[in-house]
Amino acid sequence: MKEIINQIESLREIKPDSFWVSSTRGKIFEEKESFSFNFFSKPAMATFATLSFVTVLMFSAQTANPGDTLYLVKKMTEKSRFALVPQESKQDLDFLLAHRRLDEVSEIVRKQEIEKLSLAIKELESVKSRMQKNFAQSVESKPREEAVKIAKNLAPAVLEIEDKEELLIGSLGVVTDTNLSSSTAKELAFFLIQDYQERSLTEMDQVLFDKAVKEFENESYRSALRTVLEIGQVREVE
Amino acid sequence: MNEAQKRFGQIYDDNIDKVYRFVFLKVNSKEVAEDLTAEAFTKTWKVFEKKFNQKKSLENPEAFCYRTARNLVIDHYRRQGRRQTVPVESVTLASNENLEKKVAVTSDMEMVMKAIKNINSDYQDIIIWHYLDELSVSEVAEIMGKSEGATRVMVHRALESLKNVLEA
Repeated sequence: MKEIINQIESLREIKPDSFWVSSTRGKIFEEKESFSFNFFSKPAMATFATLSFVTVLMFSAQTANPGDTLYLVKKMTEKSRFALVPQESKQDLDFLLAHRRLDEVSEIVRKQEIEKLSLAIKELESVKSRMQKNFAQSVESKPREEAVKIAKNLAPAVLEIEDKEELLIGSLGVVTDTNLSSSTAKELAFFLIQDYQERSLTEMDQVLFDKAVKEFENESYRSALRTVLEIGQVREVE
Repeated sequence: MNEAQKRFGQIYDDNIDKVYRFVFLKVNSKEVAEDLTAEAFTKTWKVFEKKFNQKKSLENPEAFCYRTARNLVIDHYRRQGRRQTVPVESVTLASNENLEKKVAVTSDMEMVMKAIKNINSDYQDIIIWHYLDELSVSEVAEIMGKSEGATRVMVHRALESLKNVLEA
């Protein structure tokens, strides 16, 4: 038996290649660090299925209106988008969202889903309120010339949205919060009137300025804004 | 290198030769032995690391690694559907012994390897673990999932079986 055991022990001469031993040692610890994506593995399939579901959900939610189940998803998508865009692009996104809210109101009216109308108008006012806040923030720390330029650039888009709103809401005979419904136009008109007040104006500009002030005092803020913008155009041509 | 890697590194260093040898003797191919041994250690490391992160420890990682290697060998033969003969030329001799001794050792090795191939698979494992790798009966029992008493009997029968083959 001893001889057999000695023969067995001779097998101890079998050794792995030393290079293989050392490279395998490294590979064992590396394996977890090197990420490999197997598309057909269960976790990968689950991730793919979840992503597909979320994509379909987000896509379907884009046509949802206030009061619909998927409207929350639509709002969440917009919120994440808003959080991701740089500060200077937030105004543009606000205009886009304001138009979207108006389209929702229009769609609800077309479908005669009157029970959803107040919700839709509330959503619209919410975007407009944010537009006003964003305008105030964007000009807050800017030099006067730059702030005026921002206000003039924003004004046409604000007027377009508020005109569209008036047309749509007015046709329904619905009473909205008038202060809020023209709040951004009011803010812009006030800002530009203040600017021209401190400048020397031509005779023609002075007439337009006086007209704008009168319209503002009469709470015709959009008219006041349009008039102020005319002053700007004449001065720029000169 | 973190603490878990350090500890497992030591286990690897202490056991890589033995596990490789066990697998090599079972599959008779350097390449297959390398692949299966690497896989056995990788699987053991994953379990070891998982337990370590959970502030637990893998009891007897050596036995776990042997068991994993053994299962991989079984899977390998299931896939192959056959057993191979022993190509003793592919064996790497560790020492720088002189040619005469080398021939003698190779001859002994060849004989015993062929004999081992001709005994029951469980007996092969027992011979390798107990007589070659010097695992105690209780350690072999743990790897095989058998009682110590039953393993002791099997150790005895395995050696008898090998002796019969060598003397035949």
